[in-house]
Amino acid sequence: MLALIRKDLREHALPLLYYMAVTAAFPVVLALIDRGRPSPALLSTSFFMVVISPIMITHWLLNTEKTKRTLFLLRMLPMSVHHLAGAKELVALIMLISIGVVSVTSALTVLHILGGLEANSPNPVAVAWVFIGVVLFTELMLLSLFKIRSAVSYSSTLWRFIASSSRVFCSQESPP
Amino acid sequence: MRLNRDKADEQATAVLEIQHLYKTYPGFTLKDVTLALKPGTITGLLGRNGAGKTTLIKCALGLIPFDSGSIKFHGTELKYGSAVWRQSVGYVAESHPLYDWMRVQQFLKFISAYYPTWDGVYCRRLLDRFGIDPHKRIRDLSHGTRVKLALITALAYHPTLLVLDEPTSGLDPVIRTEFLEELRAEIMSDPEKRAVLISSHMLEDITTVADEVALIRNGELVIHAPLADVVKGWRVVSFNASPERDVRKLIDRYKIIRGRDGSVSLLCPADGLQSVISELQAAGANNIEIQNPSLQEVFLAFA
Repeated sequence: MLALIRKDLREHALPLLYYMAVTAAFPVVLALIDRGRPSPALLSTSFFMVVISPIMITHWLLNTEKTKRTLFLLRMLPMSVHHLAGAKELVALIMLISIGVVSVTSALTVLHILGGLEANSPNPVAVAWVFIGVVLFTELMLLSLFKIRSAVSYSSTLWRFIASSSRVFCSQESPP
Repeated sequence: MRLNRDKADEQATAVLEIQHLYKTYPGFTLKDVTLALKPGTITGLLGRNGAGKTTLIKCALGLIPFDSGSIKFHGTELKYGSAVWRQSVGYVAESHPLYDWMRVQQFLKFISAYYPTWDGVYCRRLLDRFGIDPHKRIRDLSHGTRVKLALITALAYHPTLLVLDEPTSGLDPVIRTEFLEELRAEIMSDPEKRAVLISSHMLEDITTVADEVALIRNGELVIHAPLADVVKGWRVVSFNASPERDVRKLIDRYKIIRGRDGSVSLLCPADGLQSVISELQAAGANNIEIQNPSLQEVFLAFA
């Protein structure tokens, strides 16, 4: 499994760096839009991205193998489908945590530059750990609920998740 | 008609033993396939497109579940989903999937992590023998070299079962010949333990390397016998008959081989030859000639 994880991290290093760069820049953009005030929109959108990311990343990892027909090569290795899927999930988690760290660091940096937080704002570190906890919980739920075979497709699950998440986050009210 | 080897002899020391395998898809069923691969033998798996060759291979390798039957590897029954046993199986797929972005050495290192019996010295020897630069990127390799790399990947850990699915597909005749010679040399270097299954449309390839032939037609195994017996057990009877309707009953009873000039030949069992000749003569056929069939003629008749 370790060899597969190393292979995936090496193979997808560049896309990961791009994604991290976008994630790092994202709070800056939102801060500019919100004129320096931290808002639920910033937190909600970051939450949305961080929760959706593991599903998207795992889907993308498996889809890349399918597209290049190397999934068959992996299936032929003396490794069960559960180990294969587990390795992909771990890679997604590693990528996600890397992205999450960058995202949180960037958001905190932006907030610090803009002059700190309002008195009644939640502790950003606590919020960040809540985000990461929710992501890990989501991953554990996915791993235990889904039996992954060679023709894995997260697509329908992904879009249902996006649709339901969008309904939840779009209904949030802005602070007074 | 079916030529089968003695079942006791087949199953005594089989590397891979498939018994009464059934697999159903919408519109296709692999039916009651029984096949045993003995160590030291190279079995050619023949059949038309869609006959079930790849389905049989995938069931045998545990890549897809089967509906009923059993598969044993060195006497141990396999369950779908188990994977550890594949540490002793080498497989070269038709599409030769490789990671194009990796260098040859990188790719071999990645694969070697999964096989405890990986032999680095032997691997380097094969790389030298096949003339593959280990520092080259896989995407820069020619098609023939990719096939050789796929073969090295399958051989380097000394598997006891080697399965090749259309290994020479897309290779030019020169490279194909070279590949088969090298394949045979490598297989024969350790004949006692290894069984080989080659699925191919190229009958010349099968004739070159195989000891036994298994022919699948519409999901059923119709022939499994030593290559020499497959050809030896049949005769091609060529004749002139006018009108053809006089020999219609014979034509309906035996396998037909039609020549390019429209002539008709029958493929009949060698032990029934005299009776066929008598019937042909009684029906007014003349210029009766008898020949040994080629593997292609047997394939065309049964596939």
